[in-house]
Amino acid sequence: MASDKNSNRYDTLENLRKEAEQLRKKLQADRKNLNDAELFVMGKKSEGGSPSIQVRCRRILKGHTGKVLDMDWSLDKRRIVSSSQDGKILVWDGFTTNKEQAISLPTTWVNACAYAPSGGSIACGGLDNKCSVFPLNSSSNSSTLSVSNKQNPVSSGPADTGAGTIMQQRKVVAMHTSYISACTFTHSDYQILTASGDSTCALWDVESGQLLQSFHGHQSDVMDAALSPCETGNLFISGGCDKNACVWDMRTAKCIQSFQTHNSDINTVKWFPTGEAFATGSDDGTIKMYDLRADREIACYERPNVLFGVNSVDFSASGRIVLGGYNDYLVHVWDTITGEKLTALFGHENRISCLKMSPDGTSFCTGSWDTTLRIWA
Amino acid sequence: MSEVEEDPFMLMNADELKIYIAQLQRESANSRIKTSEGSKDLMSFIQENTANDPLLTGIDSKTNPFIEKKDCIIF
Repeated sequence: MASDKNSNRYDTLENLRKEAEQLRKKLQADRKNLNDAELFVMGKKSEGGSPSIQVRCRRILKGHTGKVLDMDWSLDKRRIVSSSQDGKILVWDGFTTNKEQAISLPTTWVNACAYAPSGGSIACGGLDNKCSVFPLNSSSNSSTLSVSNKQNPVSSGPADTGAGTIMQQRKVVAMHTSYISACTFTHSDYQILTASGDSTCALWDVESGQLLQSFHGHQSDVMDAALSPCETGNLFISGGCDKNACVWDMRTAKCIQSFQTHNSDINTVKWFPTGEAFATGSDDGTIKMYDLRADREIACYERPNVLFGVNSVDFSASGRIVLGGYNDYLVHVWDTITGEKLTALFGHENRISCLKMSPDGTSFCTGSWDTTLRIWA
Repeated sequence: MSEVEEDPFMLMNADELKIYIAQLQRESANSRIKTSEGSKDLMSFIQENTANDPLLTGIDSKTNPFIEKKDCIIF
């Protein structure tokens, strides 16, 4: 009798595997059926030549003593927050390169940081498995800046808030069971979305620190998450070490669509401006674009001589350009619709870890393991 | 040395397979449009907004705050 039970169990498992395999093949076939055109072919037929970009490094922000791991723009289009392996968060005025505030965390490897929409606070997290929110000095979010900043030494900014006071104002909002890889405020200061090495994403209420929603599905570390740019959007995308890019509905906590076409870890996910497509960057050296409504990968930005992993991607304001920050220390710039590589930007002296367009599209900022940030325009 | 491709289904237990099957059924049921239609809309958006894309419209020191206006410096 025992052996019958065992064989029944085995049959069920075998049947389940068969069912899963059949469904997977069906999904692939359904997606392929409607694939009637190639973006790059359509793009090359379109009028107008290649877009021309004349972008140079305009500012170098020096101050971190360790690898820069993440950065974010304030909606005021000039302030930047950056986080580093050295455990410090720095708030910069991008126009003047002055440091406005420095926060020292009791942890190293602050993998993620984000500016609140109001500009009044920042969120950050990393190896401490937590995402914390800190209020910013009033001078960091008002239009009047401190006039004289002559004493602006490289090692510590003049507004270095004492360890006691700033840590007292710290609010721990999120707690994961592994490192935080990404964090972002939703459309307000009151909710934060986190991505973690514990393979989940989560939505938190800032005021109470309460977990509002948990997103399970990735089979390994989640490396990045991004909220839909649509004002009424309830979607976000995530990418991780399981090579999966997932589209989630925040209200139901369900994964609506998932794509597995990369050959290695996905490090970065970013929405196309319309919210109908998104790009991913991977350790496999490629950037891919997925169309939500067509439910498939529609573009792959790659070259035989571009071998190094991509850590961060972003689109220009119109979406015509997609930029990637790579492990070969370069920003590679691609034509979104033809797949042509337009140029490569030199400057950083080590891996580029983060890259983000400014809110009005006039410039973009990169952060690197060489401890600096650069603003390009 | 070539890596052996593990079939992920062989690593899942029955419960995990059921969850995965439910996910696949959900995704199968999604409605889809033709790739050409999606790409056309993408390209339309890009064309409509190219004129407002500062990275494409070129250097303009008057409007781009990161680009310094050229001043004469007398030493």
